[in-house]
Amino acid sequence: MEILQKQRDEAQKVWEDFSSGKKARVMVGAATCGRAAGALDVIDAFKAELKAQGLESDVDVVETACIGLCYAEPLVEVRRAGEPSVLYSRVSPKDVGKLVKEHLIEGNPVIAKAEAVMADSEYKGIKPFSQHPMIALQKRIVLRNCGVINPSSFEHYLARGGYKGLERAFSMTPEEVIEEMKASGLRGRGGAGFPTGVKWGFARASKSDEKYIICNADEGDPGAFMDRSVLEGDPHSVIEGLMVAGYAIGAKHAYIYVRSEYPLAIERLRTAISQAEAAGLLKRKLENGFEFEIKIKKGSGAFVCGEETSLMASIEGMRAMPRPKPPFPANSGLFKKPTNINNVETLAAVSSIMRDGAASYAALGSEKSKGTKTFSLAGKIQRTGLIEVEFGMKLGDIINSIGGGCADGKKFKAVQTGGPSGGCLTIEHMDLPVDYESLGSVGSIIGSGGMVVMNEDSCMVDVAKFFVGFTENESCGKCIPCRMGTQHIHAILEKITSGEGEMEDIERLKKIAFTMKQSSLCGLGQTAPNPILTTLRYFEDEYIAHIKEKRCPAQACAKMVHYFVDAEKCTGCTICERVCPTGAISGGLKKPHTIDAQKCISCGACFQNCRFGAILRK
Amino acid sequence: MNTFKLTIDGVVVEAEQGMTVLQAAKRAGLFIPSLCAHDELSPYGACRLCVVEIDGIRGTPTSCTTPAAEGMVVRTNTEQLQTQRRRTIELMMSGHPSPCFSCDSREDCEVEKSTPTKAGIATRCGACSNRPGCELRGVAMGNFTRDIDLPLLYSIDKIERDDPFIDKDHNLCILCGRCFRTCEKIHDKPAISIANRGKKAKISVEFGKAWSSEECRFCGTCVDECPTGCLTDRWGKWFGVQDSLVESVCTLCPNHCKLMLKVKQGKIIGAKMLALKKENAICALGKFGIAQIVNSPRRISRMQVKVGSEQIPSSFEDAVAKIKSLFEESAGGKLVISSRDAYVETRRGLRALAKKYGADFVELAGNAESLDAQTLSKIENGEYETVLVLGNWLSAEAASKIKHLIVADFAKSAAQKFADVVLPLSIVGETSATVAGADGKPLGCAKASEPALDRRATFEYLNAVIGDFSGGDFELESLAKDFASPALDKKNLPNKFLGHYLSDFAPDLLKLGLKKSPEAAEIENSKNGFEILEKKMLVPNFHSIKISAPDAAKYVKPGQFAILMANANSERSPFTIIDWDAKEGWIEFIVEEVGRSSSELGSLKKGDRIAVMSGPLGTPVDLENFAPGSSALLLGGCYGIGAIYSIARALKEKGVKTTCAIEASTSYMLYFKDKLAAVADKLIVKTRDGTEGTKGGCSDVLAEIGANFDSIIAIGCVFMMKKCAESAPKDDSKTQLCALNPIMVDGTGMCGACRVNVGGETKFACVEGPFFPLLKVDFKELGKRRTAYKLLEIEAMPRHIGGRCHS
Repeated sequence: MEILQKQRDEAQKVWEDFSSGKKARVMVGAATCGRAAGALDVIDAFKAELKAQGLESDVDVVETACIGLCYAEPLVEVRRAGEPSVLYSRVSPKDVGKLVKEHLIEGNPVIAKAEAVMADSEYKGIKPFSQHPMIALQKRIVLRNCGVINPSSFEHYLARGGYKGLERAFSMTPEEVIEEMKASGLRGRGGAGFPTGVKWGFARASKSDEKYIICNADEGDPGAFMDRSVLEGDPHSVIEGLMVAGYAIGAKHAYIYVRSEYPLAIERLRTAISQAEAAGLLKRKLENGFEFEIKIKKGSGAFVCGEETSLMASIEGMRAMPRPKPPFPANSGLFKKPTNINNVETLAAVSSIMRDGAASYAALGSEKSKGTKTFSLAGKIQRTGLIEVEFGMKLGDIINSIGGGCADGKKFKAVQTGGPSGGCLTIEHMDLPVDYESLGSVGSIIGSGGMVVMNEDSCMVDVAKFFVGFTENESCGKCIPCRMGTQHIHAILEKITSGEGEMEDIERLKKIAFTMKQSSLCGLGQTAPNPILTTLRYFEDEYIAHIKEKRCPAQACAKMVHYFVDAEKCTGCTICERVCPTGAISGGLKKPHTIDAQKCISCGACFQNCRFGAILRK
Repeated sequence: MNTFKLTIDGVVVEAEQGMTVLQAAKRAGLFIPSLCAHDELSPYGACRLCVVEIDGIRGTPTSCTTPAAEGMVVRTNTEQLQTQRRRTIELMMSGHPSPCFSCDSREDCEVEKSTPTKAGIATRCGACSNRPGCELRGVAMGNFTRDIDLPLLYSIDKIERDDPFIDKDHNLCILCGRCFRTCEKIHDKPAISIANRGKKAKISVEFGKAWSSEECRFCGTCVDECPTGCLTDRWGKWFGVQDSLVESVCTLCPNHCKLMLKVKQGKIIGAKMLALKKENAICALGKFGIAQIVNSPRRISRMQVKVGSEQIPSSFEDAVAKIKSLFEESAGGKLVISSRDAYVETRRGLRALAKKYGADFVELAGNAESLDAQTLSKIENGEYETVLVLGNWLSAEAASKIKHLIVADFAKSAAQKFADVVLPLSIVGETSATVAGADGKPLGCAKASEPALDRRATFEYLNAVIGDFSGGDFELESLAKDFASPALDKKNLPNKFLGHYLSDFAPDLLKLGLKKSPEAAEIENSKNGFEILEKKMLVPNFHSIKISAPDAAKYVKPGQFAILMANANSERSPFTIIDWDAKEGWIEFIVEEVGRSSSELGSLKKGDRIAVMSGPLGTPVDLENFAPGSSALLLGGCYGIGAIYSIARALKEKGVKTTCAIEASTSYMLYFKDKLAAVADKLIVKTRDGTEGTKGGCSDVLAEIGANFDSIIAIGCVFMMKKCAESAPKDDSKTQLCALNPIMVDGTGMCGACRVNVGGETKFACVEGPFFPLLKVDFKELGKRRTAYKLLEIEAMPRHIGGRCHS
């Protein structure tokens, strides 16, 4: 495109200045995860320190987004002019003085805090980033720019091949673009895994004066943050994907439906949209006659908006409730016009596929699940964070090699894939290739890509209760099986974890779960029983222990666990007394403490805080 | 119309373009169970009952939302579909107060109680006004065994009774969405929708406010479309389903909307829209007001003619002759007061009457506040000797200034006692007549109900007085042009009809901003009666009310009762005393909401006053019959759970070993468990649906262990006591008592209303009872006598919630 030609040259210069290393630079990962860990304080500390040292004009301090190593936040790259950039982890404002002095001024990287070097080879004993255990096995396509560029810079995106996918799409007919999508094998990353090209084909085939394309950025699964990271780290990749999709199906208007709990993502999107408008890409007729407009619609965090018909109702200003299909959105969607909905990750992949061609994407992944998938590793895993791997990688490689296995030397017990609609998989599934079909065959789903790892301290009945509690509260209430089924399942699990379960409850759970799967109106209700069904399938013994022996094997269910003080080990340090929320512990300084069983709510605060192993539980 | 063929359950059926699979099946006469589907409303797909299997479509789609297509092969009743439906209904019933549904005695009980108890809150089918018309029950019975293997989820928080006209009990709601889809269809922007998520989801206006504070116009169409008893017409619901619908016209405001009158056994019991279409919208007055006004006890029904100084009932001929003579013989000023609220024929007739006798003629605008000042001053100056007034436009003072007064009216008024002639009028739906339509053209109003007794339209009287007056110079014009339709704006409801404040007839209209009559305000401010010190809802429909009654409290003994009246116009009803304190001077009652009086009592609050308490009444339990050390079994159901408490306490003090057994329909209807456990040696809990204690009732306890006791007392509903009598040990040497609760009026043995047949002898329960030998009572007769005033009891139901019912 002509309009981009000149801007590309400009952009190339800006990017080279940024990346070449001619100037010293401090780059702080300041996406939501980084900010939560204190990144903004770190930025302020660097600015103050550099000013104090008189270096403020010599060293740039810039923000980037999430590079994926969330467990190690705040992450800071420090680079001296002309030298490789060193990635430091868990940087606190206290460390700033040392980093500035030793690395920036004296040229000696602080080895103790160094995580990797952003170079192809080892540097002063620091391993390159590409060999970092969390990174080595990854294949970053969707996350290609996350944590690498300044997400507020249009030039950075442009210089790294941005909008080349759109240009290539414009060189084809919409039908050819759809064929290209089909050839890439890309499937919807929102959870259902429907082939994107086929979906576009339906919307293309619908005849209408007006069509819509929607980006679903209402990431609602607890423990999932892939979409957020992409929006925060590379918003233009989504905008480019939306434009390609709009061109392919013939839509002029797009909505990005993003939850209002993602203020930073919204801010980055707003910036990116206005940049694209200023660059002449949006809100005006392009040389090929294509005209496109993107609006942001903030959602209020309803899980059911992950369901496309609910999401559309919400955009229309109605209560978010799913409606049965048919009619499918491709025929009658938003404002009763043909509509196509794609997830953030899908669209970010689209821009990459259009740039590099379907073949290279289709070469990745497994037979029916092509390309790569992002996952958010969370829970009791050593390296939590955002990763992207080829489909077909073994579950065990993701958890053990990339994630580093369980934290604190605990034993791995299960991993919940696919969020509250997914299922719990066990140690026996470690060789399972992670793709749509394989996970489906063992009762779980890829979903949007959440992976919550649980260790021996997690009670699987309690975990199932947590997830169904979530869906119980998030059920829109429209259809009976989901509204009543989640309530009953939650109540039964509450009963079991309180030690009042009966063996008949297991059959009851299965019966309700079956009804919900069969009869619920939308995906929320149909998949809500998955955590129950998979935990029943793989951890039935835990259920039985709760019911028959009135015992929680993981000692996690508060109502079945009792805490005692081992008077021999108790030093009378009074920490437990101070952390007890109900005042159940007494004893006095340097005397053995006791727990009043009447007041104790079995929260476990004393157990976690005792440094002498003097709190026992049974 | 484009038609095509598809196969449903092996039958080739024809369908039209645009039909759903459900509609195609229906058209072919095939039945698929469904609840949320409604022919007039958009497809919704929430109840999940109409699931089918269709070749080539994944899973089990809902037939109400799937468009029928050429060549489709549909199966509606496979084993899997049946299982799916059964389980969905089970889930539905587990969130709906369904203890009656799973009760083993359901069939027996429903023979005994052919109409549901007029309870304030529908805690079960037997206490739900919608039992006869309940679609959920119908579907469940057709598809379901009665075992519900899930706990019942019930919450008192889901009951809302503070809005005008409409009771809402969200426990009964299945969220089928018919109500808000109806609202959307009629009013475009729906006033109601679902609020909150998951288990908290419920039908509500924005932010869970009172419906009256929001867009809702109380057109009540949602109530008509509700398939369960969640949304109900508070007053009219107990009449049940109408026998017929008659198209007629609401004449209560100048808009003269067409609507359907619901008629049952010749009575107008409600109204609804002509069709579920926007242009047929009606207002709260049309929907709820008509039936309350037509059936109001304020109506008059007898023609009266003054003979000497006294008004006596007269014949039509006498009344007509009297009117004639008054106008013909009167030498002084004459006046005819008409109203635009009247039928065209009446307005024309009154003009003709005035013309014929040279009388002054005044016609008041519909919704007029009062007579004009000039006419009023002329009346007060005694310038008129003979006046005919249509409606309530004259105060007692003004009426007293008129020598010869003829009042034509449909309800009581202050002027009537000064009248020479009183003509009772028929109103909405009781007359075939004409009004001016909104377009100014004549609009016929059909008669839906035969007016009771002497009631007639004014023009019928006039015809007889002055003969034919169909000609004349009367010009018909639209009355609606200056008066926006209240169906569109609830603020436009008329305050008055024929000079009467409409809020006197349907007090809930006050909540929609209508004016209060001076008379109603006076009653409301009265401070007479017994102060309520404490009031609690123990469980839905059951209230404990503690009143200050220092004099009576000194005399109460266990087992006695008192007659209570919530206000001066209430029915006199007996209520059992459950506790008292002579020193502190209070008495506590148990009140079960089962009809007008008890509902009025139930809606009172702490600090309110009860107009009448006469008691203690009845013969107390003779404690001499219970020897210390002997054993007694006390059985209580419904209000009887409260009633056995004071007896159990007295027996314990005497050293009698007491076992208390209580029964309720379901766990959420049990109360006093702790109180009884404290005074009894043993407490047995039974529920009809088995949700707490063991499944069954007191009669099962009696059958099982009754023989072990020296004495037995059973207190509860007639059905429960009858069942107990059947299973009690047939041993006359034991003391076996029951406490009867027949209709009572005076409570002193004078009126005879409370007569009961005990062992072939007639006894008066109010003085000789309430305790009688369990084995000797004729329960069948008692049950019959208790339902003798069924219809009247419904008519008398309170017209609003708040106790101070002044109708």
